[in-house]
Amino acid sequence: MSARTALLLLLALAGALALAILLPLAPLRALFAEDSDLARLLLVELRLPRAALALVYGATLGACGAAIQALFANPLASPDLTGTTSGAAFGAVVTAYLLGFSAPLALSIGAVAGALGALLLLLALAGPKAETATLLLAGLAISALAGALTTLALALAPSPFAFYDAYDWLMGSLIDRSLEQAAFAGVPALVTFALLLRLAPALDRLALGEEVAQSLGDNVARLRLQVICLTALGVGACVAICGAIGFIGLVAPIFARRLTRGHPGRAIVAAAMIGALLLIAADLITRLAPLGRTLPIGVVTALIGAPFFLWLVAHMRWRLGS
Amino acid sequence: MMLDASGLSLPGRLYDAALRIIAGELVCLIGPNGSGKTSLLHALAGIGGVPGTMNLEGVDPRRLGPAQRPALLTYLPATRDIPWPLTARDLIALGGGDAAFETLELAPLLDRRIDTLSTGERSRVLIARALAPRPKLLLLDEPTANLDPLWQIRLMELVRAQVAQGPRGALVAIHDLDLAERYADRVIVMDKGRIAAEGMDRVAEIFGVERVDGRWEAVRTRADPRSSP
Repeated sequence: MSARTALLLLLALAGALALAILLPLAPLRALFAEDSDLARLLLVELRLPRAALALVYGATLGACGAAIQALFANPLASPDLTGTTSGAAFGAVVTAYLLGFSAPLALSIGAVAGALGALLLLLALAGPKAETATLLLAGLAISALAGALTTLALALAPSPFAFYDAYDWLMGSLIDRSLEQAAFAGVPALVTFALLLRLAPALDRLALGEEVAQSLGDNVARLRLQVICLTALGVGACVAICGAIGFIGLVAPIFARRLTRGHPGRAIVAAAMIGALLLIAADLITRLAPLGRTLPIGVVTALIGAPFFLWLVAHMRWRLGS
Repeated sequence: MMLDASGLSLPGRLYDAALRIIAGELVCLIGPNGSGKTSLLHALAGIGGVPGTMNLEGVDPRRLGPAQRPALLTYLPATRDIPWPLTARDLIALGGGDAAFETLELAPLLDRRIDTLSTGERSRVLIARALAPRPKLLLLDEPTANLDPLWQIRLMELVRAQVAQGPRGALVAIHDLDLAERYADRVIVMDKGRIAAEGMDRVAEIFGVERVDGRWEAVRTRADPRSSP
């Protein structure tokens, strides 16, 4: 990624953040005229955490997507298609039943454990150098399993309130999260991002193939474990606060690698920025769409991401010549 | 002695192999499929473990990280698959080499993506990735596979020339017995995971081929089912 591209992405990100905090402008301006304290409260208590969460969650999905795509040497390995997000959701729902949704630390730990379980299961099922078909099948199986277990947990909900809370949270939402909750997602996400950046050169060398990477002095087994644990930490912490949001982790790295001449490790930074940009944009759409109500953000990312995914599959099929 | 390695074992694949290479030596590694050629190269490159002892000019390169190791040894695997569409220039740079590497006539290929190259062209790029850091020890697995006859000869001469510069050595696993005989200073024959012989004397026994009128032919023995018409 050239310095100019990086600067443009940063500017776009700053612009999107400003829009996310200020839009829609009309009610904000009206409120400022009426009661500026309340308006300030709205900015700090509602819009700021929401924008911050979109930034953090989008960046985490992008960075983790790029890292596990590099790890599995496969452009379709992403947190949602590998079952990581559904594993995290299952872990969080179970924890929520035991301890309630008001214990963010326990929720985070449950989600991280669920994500880790899903990724380790994927590694065991699909193997370290996963063929696309094996990877997708294993990911599908894990998603289905985690989904079924989550549904089972919902069916066994201890009370209608617990059921509704869990259901609402599962839809994925950035709304009504406090700054404290944003920090519960943000701190692990930041740790994940910083440590993934340190692994980026090794992930680039992994592009030469596992044998060559080892012959160059990389400990590939350790690298694999590090990437999986970090992805589980970052994605798990975000899912615990905001629920599962799909497709960003698939799409952002694919765009990012176009900016890094195909380097999978170097793409982590760009993927984080693009992921954040995409999620902030998707959140703006949920707010500004003229439907008279707020759309669930997972629906928006899926509506944008699923056609892209279909295009990608068609493109890969065409390129493989089958 | 430039390289002195011993006690190289990988479970089920390689049994207590030991070898020495002196400076300027090009050693060819021959042996039937599954005889352990790749395993021996893996053991020396530190792939899948760090077995035995290895001394390359005073250090065990397998204990070094990515910053130092390419200057000491590089390894070319038999596979030519690269998962990401990188350019040839970037691939060579990732391997720790200088992309301005001026052999193998790569100039027209350098800025093309690896997935748009033919198999032979891709082989040349990946060979350049291994040669470019100019390591003390070159470990090449089937470098001539996919290359046309002219490039096979050019490559072996290039490896010869590089090994001759400075205290360097090369260990090249190769199936073409003629190329091995022609370019190797020494031939090591592997069989069933062990170093079985040096030189070409036991080729007939180990491979089941023999030279008849200047060509390699299957040995016609009484018990070999492959020799039945």
